Amino acid sequence: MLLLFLLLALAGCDGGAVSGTVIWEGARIYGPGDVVAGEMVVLDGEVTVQQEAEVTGSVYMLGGTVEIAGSVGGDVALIAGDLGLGPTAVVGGDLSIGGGDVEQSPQATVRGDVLGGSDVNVSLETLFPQPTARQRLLRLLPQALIIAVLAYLVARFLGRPLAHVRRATVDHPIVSGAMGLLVGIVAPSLLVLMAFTVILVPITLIALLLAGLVVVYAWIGLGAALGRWLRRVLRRDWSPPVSAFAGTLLFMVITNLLVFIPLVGGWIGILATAVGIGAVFLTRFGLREFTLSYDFGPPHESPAN
Amino acid sequence: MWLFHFLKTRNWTALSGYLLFVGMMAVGYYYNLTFVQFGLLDLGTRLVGLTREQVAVNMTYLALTTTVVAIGVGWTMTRRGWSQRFLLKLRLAFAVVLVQTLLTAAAPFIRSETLFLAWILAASVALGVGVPATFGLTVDLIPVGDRGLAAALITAGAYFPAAVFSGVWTIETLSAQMVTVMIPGAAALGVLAFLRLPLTTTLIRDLSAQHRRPAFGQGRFVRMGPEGEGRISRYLLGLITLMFAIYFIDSLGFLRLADTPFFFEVAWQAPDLFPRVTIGVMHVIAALIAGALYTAMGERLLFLWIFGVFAMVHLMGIGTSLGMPILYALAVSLYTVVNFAIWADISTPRTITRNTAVGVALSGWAATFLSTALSLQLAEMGVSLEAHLRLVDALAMIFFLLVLALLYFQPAGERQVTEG
Repeated sequence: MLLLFLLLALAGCDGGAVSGTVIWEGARIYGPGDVVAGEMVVLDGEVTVQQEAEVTGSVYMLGGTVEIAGSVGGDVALIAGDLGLGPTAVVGGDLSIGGGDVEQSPQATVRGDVLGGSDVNVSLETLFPQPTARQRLLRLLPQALIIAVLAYLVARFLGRPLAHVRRATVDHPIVSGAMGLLVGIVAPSLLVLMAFTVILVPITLIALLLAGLVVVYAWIGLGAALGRWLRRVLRRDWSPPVSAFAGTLLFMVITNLLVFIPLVGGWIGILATAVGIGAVFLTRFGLREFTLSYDFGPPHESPAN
Repeated sequence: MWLFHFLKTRNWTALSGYLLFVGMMAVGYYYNLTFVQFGLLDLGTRLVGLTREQVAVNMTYLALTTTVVAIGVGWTMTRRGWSQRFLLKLRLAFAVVLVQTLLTAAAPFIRSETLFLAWILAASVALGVGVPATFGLTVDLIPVGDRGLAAALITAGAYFPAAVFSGVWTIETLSAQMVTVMIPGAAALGVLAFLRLPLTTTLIRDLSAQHRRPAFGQGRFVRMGPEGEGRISRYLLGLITLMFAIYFIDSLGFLRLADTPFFFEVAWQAPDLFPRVTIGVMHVIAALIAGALYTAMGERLLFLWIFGVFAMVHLMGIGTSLGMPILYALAVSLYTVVNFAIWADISTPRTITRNTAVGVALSGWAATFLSTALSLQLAEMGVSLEAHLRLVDALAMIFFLLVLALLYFQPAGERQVTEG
């Protein structure tokens, strides 16, 4: 998510105001006379800024190795990785060291302050703390219960719209998934675009809140579908709110547990959420039933032979 | 989906036709994306010694000639009833692939401007014939219900390798790459189109009859008039006209970016594999999204999404991070899928070649011609890259406002119709 927003933020900037180069991997050498316009974000790989080469903006290191013998117009911030500042290196702003290793020549020039050690103690883990497996499991049940109670209330008071969303997830999972993925890609970009206009920042905050509500609504829609299936399999006489509660509880528990499966676990939850979000949009937040614009499926006719 | 239905019922004839169409169009589109767009630029500047502006002028000749030839051939095919003749379209497609293979193999040996221009004229005639002939096969080979999926497969099949594998855009590399694919392709098409073996005879007979079946022939947006003529709504026609604006604006922005190698080095021609694979995967995901939505949604919502995403991407400006090419890949794949599917869906087997020729020629080639001409004019006037891109963004903003206006106008209903 950090990377996504970083990329989108850079994408949202005008080339003249804030622009940047993101280096993902491989070796990159900037020789004498080369100018890297804007910010440079190094995620991995080996970057060499030779003498008389220039980075006009700041250099942010999240990994990899950077050797600087030329000049950097802005700050150099190191969170992780290896940084080398040669005798001819010139840093126009501050040198901030939050993690990683720095090898700085005494002749290197830092025009701003050198912040590090006791001044700054930043690392990816401290910036974006990842909960441990135990913490996740402890949070899981209360979180799932809160969403399940919400599902009960939605099914109790907004039964018809929820039924529309539920049916769209079950009857049209591919179309819903496609719509959900599209919204999932476009919405963050739109939020970044709005945030950059400054004047729309308040609307961005409201939109962020709405986005959160849509995600919860999507989970409830999927939970309602799962609850209905459970009711049928277990042959219980549950009311729709009860089956929505049970299904949502189970859905939340399953998707949170799936995260522990390496590589694919998280993606299953994301794809399921995409189906739910798509269903919410296709039914216009449950206000109408979604039907295909035209029935295209293979009829009883065999087209050839 | 029909594709799975064909597999399940082991309908090898329909399946062969399906795969033939998807494969042929994907390779054709890959050819346009790489060889025509960048190979010719390399040929003109590096081997013939022309400036980028001179190559651009020659490219406008290519675009204009292709437009004129495509419309002429498409119109003639419709008037003479050739649109409904599968074998004729297949033979024309074979001839085009054969000529194009020879031209592609010969391209790296061109050293003079006269030969370069002659090559361009010959290629544009072949492409002009190819547009109605190959797109015209849609009604014979792809069921209406699968046109979104087929278009998605074509788009993904062309953009993914173009993004991931074509790091070296020199004429020699591209020529060798394309000829390797085109020779077996041309041979297979030739066998199918001309050799009367038991297998090919049966295949041709069955595929020739498919456009008469309800699942294939009449496009999704066509309503039959009282005298049996195909009609489409004026609202849809307006949306399609707006789609031409997308091509123009997009081409105008892309052309100037192509003149600025820095933008390409961080994305489409990045030395690292990761950015290229990311862009390629985004093309595939976006194409599949568009394929699913094309089939499921009504025209109003479908076009609104496509226009909205396109306008948003342009309004975000041009950064140099990977985020921008990713979003750009999304927008481009969305409208490319529609461009592959829509022409057959506003046509009947009788009108497919004319409608396709007009649609593809105007959107694909004429838009390129006009935007190249304007781009050159702006460059001659000394307009900077920044100012040029601001102009493109301003056009995108106007376009976005038009899209917002569309939100307020509902389709006028099926009574307002025009001939399709």
